[in-house]
Amino acid sequence: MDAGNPTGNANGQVDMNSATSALNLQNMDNVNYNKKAYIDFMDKISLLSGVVNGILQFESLAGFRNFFIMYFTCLFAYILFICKGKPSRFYGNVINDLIIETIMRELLGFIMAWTFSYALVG
Amino acid sequence: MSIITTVLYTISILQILHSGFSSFEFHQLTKNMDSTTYPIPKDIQLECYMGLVVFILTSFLSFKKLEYYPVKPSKENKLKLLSTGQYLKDISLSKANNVHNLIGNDPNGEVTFAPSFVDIQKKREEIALWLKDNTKEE
Repeated sequence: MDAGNPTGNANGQVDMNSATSALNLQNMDNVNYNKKAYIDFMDKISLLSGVVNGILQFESLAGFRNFFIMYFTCLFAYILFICKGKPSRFYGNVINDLIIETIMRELLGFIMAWTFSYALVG
Repeated sequence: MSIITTVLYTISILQILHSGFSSFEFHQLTKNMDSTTYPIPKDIQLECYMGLVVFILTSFLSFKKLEYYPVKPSKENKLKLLSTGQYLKDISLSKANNVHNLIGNDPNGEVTFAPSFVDIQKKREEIALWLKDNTKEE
C-alpha cells in the first residue's frame, strides 16, 4: 500500500514558495499603524468639511453630495501620494479598510459638525 | 509636527473661524430686513473654501517619511537616522522584516545577548581598550 505524500510533488519535495505565499503572513502592528494613520487623517478632514458646510448653510442632499465629493477626492489623493499608488502593500483588504470600515464613522462625524455649525450660524 | 504645518493649520482654522463669524453677522443682518433669503456673499464663501483647501493640503503635508534609529552606530560613530522613504509601514511579514535588517536588529538577540552566552573576557578587553583611549584625551 502506498501512503503517498500529501504536501509533496512527484519527487517527494515540499514546495516551500507556494506554502509561504498561501499563508500570507502579516505584521499586525504595522496593519494597525496604517489603519490608525488613515482614520486620523480622515477624521480631521471630515469634521472640518462639516463645519464648512454648516457655515455656508448647505441643506439636505447638497451637504451629503459635498461629503461624498470630499471623501472620495481625499481617498484618491491618499492612495496616490501617501500609498504611492500601491495601497495593497499597506492594507490587507483595500476596499474594506479604506472605504467600508471608515465611511460610516466619517459620515456621522461630518453630520455632527455640519448640524452644529449650521445651528450656530443660521 | 513641523513649524510649516503648524502655521498652515493655524491659518486655515483662523480663516474658517473668521468666515463663520462673517456668515453669522450676515444672517443676523438679513433677519431684520425682510422675509426674502439672500445668498451668502462671495467673499465669505471663498474664504471658507480656501480655509478648507489649505487644511486638507496641510494634512497631506503633515505625513512624514518614517525614520529609524540604528541599533548599532556606524563605523564613523555617527548616529544617522535611516529611512526607507515610506509614509506607511509594509504589512507583509517578509517586507516588514526589511526594517529590522536595515537598523541592524538581531532577531536572535534574546539568545545571543543572554548573560550566559556573552563572551565576558572579550567584553572586558573591549572596555579596557575603550577606557585607555578615552583617558588619554583628558
